[in-house]
Amino acid sequence: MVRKRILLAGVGAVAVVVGVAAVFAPALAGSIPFPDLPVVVVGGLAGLFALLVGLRRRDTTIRGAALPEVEAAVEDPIPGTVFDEQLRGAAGIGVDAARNRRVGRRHLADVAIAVLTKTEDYSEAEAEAALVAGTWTDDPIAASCFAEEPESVGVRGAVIQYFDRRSQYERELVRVVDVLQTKLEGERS
Amino acid sequence: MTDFDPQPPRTAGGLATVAAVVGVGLAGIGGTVAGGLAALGLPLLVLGAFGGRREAVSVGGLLVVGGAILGGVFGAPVPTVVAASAAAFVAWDVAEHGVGLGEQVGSDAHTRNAVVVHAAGSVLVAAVTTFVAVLVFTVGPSGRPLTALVLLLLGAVVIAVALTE
Amino acid sequence: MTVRRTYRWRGVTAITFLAVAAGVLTNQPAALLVGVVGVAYAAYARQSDPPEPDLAVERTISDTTPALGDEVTVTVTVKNNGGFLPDLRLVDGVPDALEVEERSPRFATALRAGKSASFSYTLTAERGRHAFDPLTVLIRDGSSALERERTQSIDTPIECTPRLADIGSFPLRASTVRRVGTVPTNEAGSGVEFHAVRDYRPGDPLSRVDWRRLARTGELSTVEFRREHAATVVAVVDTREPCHTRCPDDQPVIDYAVQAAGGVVAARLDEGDRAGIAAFGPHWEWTAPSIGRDHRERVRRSLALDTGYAPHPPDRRFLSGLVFRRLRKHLPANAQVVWCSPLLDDDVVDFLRHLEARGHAVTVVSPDPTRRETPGQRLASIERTLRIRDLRRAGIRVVDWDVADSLPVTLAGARRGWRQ
Repeated sequence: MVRKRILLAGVGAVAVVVGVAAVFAPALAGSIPFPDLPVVVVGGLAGLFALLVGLRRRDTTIRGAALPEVEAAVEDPIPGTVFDEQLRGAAGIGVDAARNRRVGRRHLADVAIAVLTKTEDYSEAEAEAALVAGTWTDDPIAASCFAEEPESVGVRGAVIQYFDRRSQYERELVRVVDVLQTKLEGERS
Repeated sequence: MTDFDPQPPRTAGGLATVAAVVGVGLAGIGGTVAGGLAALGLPLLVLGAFGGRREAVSVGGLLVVGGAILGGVFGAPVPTVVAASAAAFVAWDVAEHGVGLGEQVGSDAHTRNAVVVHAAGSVLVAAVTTFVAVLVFTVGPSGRPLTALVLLLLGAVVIAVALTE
Repeated sequence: MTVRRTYRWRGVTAITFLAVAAGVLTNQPAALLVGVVGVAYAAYARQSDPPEPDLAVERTISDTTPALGDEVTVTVTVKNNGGFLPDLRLVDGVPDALEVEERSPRFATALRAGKSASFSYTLTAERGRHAFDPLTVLIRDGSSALERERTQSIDTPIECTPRLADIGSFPLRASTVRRVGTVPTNEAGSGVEFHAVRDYRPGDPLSRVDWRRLARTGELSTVEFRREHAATVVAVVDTREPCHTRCPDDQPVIDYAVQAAGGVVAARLDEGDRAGIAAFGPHWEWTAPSIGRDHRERVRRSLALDTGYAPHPPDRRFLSGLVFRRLRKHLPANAQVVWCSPLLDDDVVDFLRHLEARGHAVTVVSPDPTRRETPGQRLASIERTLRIRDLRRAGIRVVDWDVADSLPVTLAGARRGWRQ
């Protein structure tokens, strides 16, 4: 590889010397027979090289040391971020979104059951049943969170549900949290 | 608390802008088309130099030097063309160096000496080359065969290829 | 040392060829000569490899044992013992747990032979032993075509050992405030509460002679009181993975738990009890309950410097059952436990009920890291409240500490609700 470079440089050097000589001493150059290269060929070759090297340059990323961000300190997470991430992932109609909603609802249901059994006179089975039936709270939006999906909602309802699915889920979820918080605070006072 | 701010140093941006303006101005002497092409590159290069966008700097630099070459094609005098291209090289070099400094060292840190020394080196190469090239061309005998000149340059280019990668 | 080419001059070769092509095809020497400029830069970019740099780098710290929250100034000085360096860049390895407060730990300059340059920045001291990461040195040549990267380790640790917090007093469960100790026993000894009378022995203090009996019967006797042992307290810091969260003020909640543990130990030592500490988590720590100034200092240093109490210790496997058994084995019989934990998981309730059932009266000091903004945060807060409720129902005393308030104030408020 290095040899090739030296050879190339050598050829180039010879060409330069001859060229300089030709410029400053045309007579001398006249005595050396070299072919009259057609201009187009030379120009075309140069253009080709320009293109080749240019493409090679485009594929090269300029390199430099990648340094870590030393200014920042390690940060701990905030309690509750896992649930919030699931909530973010609950948008849409894909399988993952449905799973996120299912997991989120289950987590919420577990907490709701805990609140009901501890602050009110429910047994675990009663609490679970009340969640499903929607009788555990007066708030209709919160109640519908764990209720079974209604059988038919009509075409218009279906279209709204299709587009609105995440925000409805989130709305129900927030209401459930509201209700649970109220129940806990009520017990404290 | 300070976050790391990967912006290039303002000194680099400023120097690159000056060089780019010189380049565009000189390229403009080669005609409106040449000047226009070079002028297109100016905002790209300047914004990239201050904002830390390497792509913008490269494309901007290419347009300015392209404008210089175009001026030469359209028969602009040799000194202006060579000087314009040299200024374009300086502009790109200082700007890209600044972007790299921003990425590694950031704008909050002290960087002035590094920028200035690098710019000085670039300007030196540009100035010496322009001077020698123009001198050789003007002082040398006229009526030289073009092929000879081509050979000279191709040879030089081949050396360049051998030297770089 | 890593040497790399930046390849930043690759484009120049392409432009050179472009200029040559343009000049040749249009028979314009001016365009051709642009190629000369390109060649010149290419040559500039390929200067012979500069010799290996010879640098001496030093780091000085304004205060290697700062108080908590103090500003520490770090100064890095670099001396060039070799040839001229046109482009020298330094990035200091700021310790992981510390944040840069002012200025920058990074620096770039050109350095002549024999000259020095320096830069400085400030950090805010946090509890613990902080080691600096290796400092990165980058050296480039004048054309910036070549970069040498090197790291240098400079050992300049910073140790911040805050004093044990002053939380006033911290009452234990079923405690009676006595002069000698705090918990009544059924042994005879010196104390305050009357126990029995025995024959006088030479050496007994005259203040304890039963003079009335002497007057009545002529016998010399000594009154004995119920011996009161000092209580034994262990402050346990919960350092398991769920506890590694941050509070609304962005401080790690572990810091508050450690602060509470230290404060409890100090308060109980002041009352004459034996107090110790433990870290319940992947990195077990234990300082047996004891008394005295040396012991106090040991507790302070342990809480500040030991890995188990660090806010971001290295990862390690944790088998809760095994470590819990270890804790129980270490706990002296009848020792009271002050459990310092944010109560962010359900397991902790089981652990504490178990300890309580085994005769270790438990008091919980729980700094609250939960927020009330998003649904997930509110849910976490609700779950924590339920755990506090469960613990209280089991007879365990819980201090629910909003870290925006100071601990002494919170304790004072909590005590109003406790029966002595």
